[in-house]
Amino acid sequence: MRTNADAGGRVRHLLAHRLFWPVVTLVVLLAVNASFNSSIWHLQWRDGHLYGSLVDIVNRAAPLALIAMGMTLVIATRGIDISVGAVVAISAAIAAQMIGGQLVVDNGVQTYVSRVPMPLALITALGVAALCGLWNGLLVARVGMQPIIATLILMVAGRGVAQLITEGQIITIYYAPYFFLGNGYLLGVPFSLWIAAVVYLALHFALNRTALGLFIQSIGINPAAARLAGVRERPITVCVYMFCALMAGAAGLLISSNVKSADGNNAGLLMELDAILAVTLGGTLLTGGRFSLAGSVLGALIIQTLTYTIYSIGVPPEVNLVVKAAVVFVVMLLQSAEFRRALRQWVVRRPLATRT
Amino acid sequence: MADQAVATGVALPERRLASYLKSNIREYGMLLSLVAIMAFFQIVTDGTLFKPLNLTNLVLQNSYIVIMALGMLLVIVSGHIDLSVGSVAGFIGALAAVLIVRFELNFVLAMAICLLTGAAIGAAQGYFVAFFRIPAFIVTLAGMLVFKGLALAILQGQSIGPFPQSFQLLSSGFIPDQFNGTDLRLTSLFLGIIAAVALMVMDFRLRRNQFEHGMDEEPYSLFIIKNLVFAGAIIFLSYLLASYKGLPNVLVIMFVLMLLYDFGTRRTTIGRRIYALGGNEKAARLSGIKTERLTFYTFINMGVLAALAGLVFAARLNTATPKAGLGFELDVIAACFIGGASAAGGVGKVTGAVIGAFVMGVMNNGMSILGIGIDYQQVIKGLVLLAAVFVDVYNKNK
Amino acid sequence: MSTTRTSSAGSATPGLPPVLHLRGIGKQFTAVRALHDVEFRLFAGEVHGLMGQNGAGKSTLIKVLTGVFPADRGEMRLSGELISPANPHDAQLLGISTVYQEVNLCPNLSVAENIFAGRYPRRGGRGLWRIDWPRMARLAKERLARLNLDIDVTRSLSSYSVAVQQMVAIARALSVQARVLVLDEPTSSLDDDEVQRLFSVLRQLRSEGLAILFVTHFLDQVFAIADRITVLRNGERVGEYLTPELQPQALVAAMIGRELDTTSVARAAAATEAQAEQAPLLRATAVARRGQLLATDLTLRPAEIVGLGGLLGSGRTELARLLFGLDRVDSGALEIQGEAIALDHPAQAIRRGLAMCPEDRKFEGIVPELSLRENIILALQARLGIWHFLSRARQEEIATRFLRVLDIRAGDIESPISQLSGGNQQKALLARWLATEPRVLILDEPTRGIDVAAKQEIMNEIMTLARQGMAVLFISSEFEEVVRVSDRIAVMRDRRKVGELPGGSSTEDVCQMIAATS
Repeated sequence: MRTNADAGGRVRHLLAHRLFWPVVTLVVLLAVNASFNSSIWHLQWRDGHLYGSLVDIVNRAAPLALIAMGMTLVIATRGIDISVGAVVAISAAIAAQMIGGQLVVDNGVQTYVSRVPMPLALITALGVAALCGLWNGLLVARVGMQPIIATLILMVAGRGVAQLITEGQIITIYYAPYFFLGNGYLLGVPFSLWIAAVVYLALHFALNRTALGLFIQSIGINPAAARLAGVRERPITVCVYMFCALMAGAAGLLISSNVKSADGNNAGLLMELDAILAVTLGGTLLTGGRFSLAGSVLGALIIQTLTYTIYSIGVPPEVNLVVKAAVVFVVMLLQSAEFRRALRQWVVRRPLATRT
Repeated sequence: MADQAVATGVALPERRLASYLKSNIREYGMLLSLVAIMAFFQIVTDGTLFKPLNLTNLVLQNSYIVIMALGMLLVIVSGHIDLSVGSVAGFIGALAAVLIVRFELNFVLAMAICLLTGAAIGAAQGYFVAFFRIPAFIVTLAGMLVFKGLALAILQGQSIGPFPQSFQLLSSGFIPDQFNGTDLRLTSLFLGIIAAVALMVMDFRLRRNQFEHGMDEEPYSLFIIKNLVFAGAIIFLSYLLASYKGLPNVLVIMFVLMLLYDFGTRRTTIGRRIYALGGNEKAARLSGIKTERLTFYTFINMGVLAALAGLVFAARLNTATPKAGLGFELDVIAACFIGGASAAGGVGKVTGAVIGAFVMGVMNNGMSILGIGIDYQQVIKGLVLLAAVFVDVYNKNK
Repeated sequence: MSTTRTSSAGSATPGLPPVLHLRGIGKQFTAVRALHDVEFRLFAGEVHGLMGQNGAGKSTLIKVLTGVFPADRGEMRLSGELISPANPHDAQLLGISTVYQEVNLCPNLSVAENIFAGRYPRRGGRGLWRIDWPRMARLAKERLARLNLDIDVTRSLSSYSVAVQQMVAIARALSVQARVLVLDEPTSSLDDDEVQRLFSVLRQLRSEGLAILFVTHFLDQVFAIADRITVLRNGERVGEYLTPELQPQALVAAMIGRELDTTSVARAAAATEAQAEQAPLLRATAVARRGQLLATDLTLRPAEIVGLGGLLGSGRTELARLLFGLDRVDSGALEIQGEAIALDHPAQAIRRGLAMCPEDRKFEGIVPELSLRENIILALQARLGIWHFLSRARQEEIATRFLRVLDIRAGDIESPISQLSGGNQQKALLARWLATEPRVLILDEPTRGIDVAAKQEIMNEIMTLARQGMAVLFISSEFEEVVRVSDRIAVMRDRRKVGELPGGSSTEDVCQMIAATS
């Protein structure tokens, strides 16, 4: 008897764990993939690094994971940031423009050099991204605009800014060291994964080893109580938006490095949607409060795996969008109290009907 | 005290003028800004702006934005937002192409099907927003994705066209000229004059009605000036258009819709109920207004207008492309906010939204003539939107 | 126990049955008995005041009356007919019109539109959809003229003062062929002239035969306008009185309870003389905030408990919020430990040793989804800042300590605070502030909704803290509590301080000070 109760309790505890459903979804997706494409699990060691479909998925998911982590914090404070796509484009454009594509002959060998030292380009790109976040944060916290409107402004203007920086062209980047960001491997594992991991660990540390996580959650759950308790909600809100934009900037660097170009128009297109979806899949509610960083990262992986699955099935890319939308939809429906109530009524009514 | 009676006809004319202007400053401000911007660009482009050809293009380029702004205004006033309109417009355009070009369906029937589809789309989204209370931006964001994908799917990645002549008339057609004028399309000019006179007559009647019921009306001097200016402007613009190809069909459509929606939002019960809903949902419900149903209807309306805009756009380009509708929603939303709608709901005028759309349109057009890049245009668009919302928030927090 | 004196006051004809008659009304909310066997009568042509403290059942009775929810027991009769409105709209259709405390109109619409929202006069008769604006404006003007208000009805509602908005709300309530007009605290945002204007309107409506139910906290107002007064306490009707026959002290006594304590209670361990010499920890001089508090002085010294006594609506919470930095002071000066300061944010006050347990623990107190532990250490952590993070062990230690000291009944410190009972939540909030080791502690209704045993524990804890040097500002609607523990009692009424009483005063002294007309 005791073992049954124990097992039951443990199972319930497992089911109730926040990450349970995201993990299950991911596993199911991978299984579906493996069922018609067993090579997905193949991992080889080639050219000094890991090689395989899983590695690709992880590499592509890293930028999305970064943005999702930033978005998680914004959503936790009851806000939203739909300008991240534009910030991705801006940061990619700045880096590409500063690095340029000059060809130089050096000792008879043609090499590409960078217009400015690469670290400077990277720092500038990230700095400008942070400024974008500061802009958003001030509009929300000081001016008092609704987050969706405030970030809509940057979403509209930001693409234009990105295009201006690239002067309307798609800048191709030739500078080899830059490719390392999105294509390189460190100790056999993609460099982008390292970046995402480092950010995750740093964030985890900052949120759990300092009071930041506690404050963000209180602001999201009950802003009035947080204020009364002495939490400085305005500076924290501004910082959260800055961080989100910074992550978008970093993602922009990774993406442009991966495709070796910066496209002001298309870089980061619709990434805000993917990010919001990743956060929601990971279990964080759009109404703010408790959040799950790990959940958002899992959400990013799920989305990337989903995209990969759809491609490998051979379904046209437009269906990708439809499927994504359907998934958002189902998640939102399940989160809606009215819907759950309606569902319960419907479910409860049916057995009664059959009984008579 | 300000709360006490506002004197009618007893106070000095100058004081009345000043106080009237102050209380309606937002409206007149918008209009004056539009006039100022037009004047600015007219000068800066050495008179190209008002050239008949350019004016015609300006109207044609902004038609779909105006059409959608009418619907978006109602959605925003009711306190929600619709991010899917661009994708829906693109999808409907693609649907029309498939029906008309590929299946060779009669274009009137195809248009009817398209409008009904738009209504169905609006109904689906509206149902989730109104009855399940899922935030509108999520539902319509999902809708945006779905219809972008569906458009790609039914077009199979290609562009479909051209459309038959009869369909193209929707966008590129002009009012036929009965008088066979050579340089001047007289019918169009006459229509313009008639419209101007009709508006003046309606305004006079309204003023007389107000006077009979003792309501505060515009100071007489302002009233006369305003009507003369409007009439003059309409006749002038009709003349300019008439000297090119006449009044575009789509302008007539826009005008009719504008009148309809302006009337609806100002003088019908259902229109005013939407404003009550946006102002204070609880109070509206307490007054017996069926708020969920009303929200549902605004989304259906948006769907139909988005479909219409999609048809107009496809007819203008003469093809349906997968990229159609990209970014429309931002233009439309910006137009509404520039025109004075409030993000919190309950505030916004049809005339404002139309003016806002034209402000954006004139800026786009003028900047293109000047050769300013699209990118700068995007930045400036963003800044104008910022200014408009900033003013709104600042006023609210005062 | 209730007393009823039948009336022959106002223009109510003796012998005529009441327009509105509630009998045996009972309402239960899971654990709380909000109303029990309440009888209420409202006659045509009278203004009837409904009085009672918070938790007395006033708002529940109003909600039953206006159809927000049905009563569990009892019956309601309107002009003799049994009614049970299913929702507020229903009640309106029956002829019971309500004007709420917060103007529940649409600020973006014009005055005329607000009056006729949902019932627009149409062009061409009913059923059509074109609004007849000119007729609507004319009718609106007529309605407002009935209230002696002549304003431009086409301007938006928000362009008028709150007083005018209230009038518009009343005009709207009247336009529905009302037989009963319910005014729920209509004067809380009005100044004196505006109140007088409202009253003259009410008198006129009364002479036209309308039955008016007037809910308010303000004593002088109810004596000025009401013909009869019904007092509720703890969900039961204490009595229905004719105003001319009711003394103010008796009214106050009925509201707060019949246990008038005429014996003085000496507070143990009173070094009262020495206290007066110590430098004040907090000194407020003529602090005021427009629409909320008139110029008030208050001084708090170490090791003393200052009680803030007064009825609901007297401005106690507003004063506390100003002292703590939640609201900005419009005029007056604030000094904390000798340092003059203008507070923008509670964090500034907390840094200087202040702490406050808010009145509404649901909205401004607990952070629902967070655990008990997180709620307890929140303020302390906020004061320490982001970097100086309390380790998990330290947090648990603090939380467990207070769990024991205050006897908080909770599963464990990790359970979400929303699962705790009201009393335990309140204790947790108290723990939160005690953890910051403040010099000045402001407690706003700390014992509301708490059982007797827990109340005792909290009060004992407060007295211990004061003995150890803390200054405590204790706000409570229960006068016995206030007089029992306070060294000094500042008495407030109608948004200002009317005087101070020394420790050892009786509840009757407090009542007298409140009731005294200045």
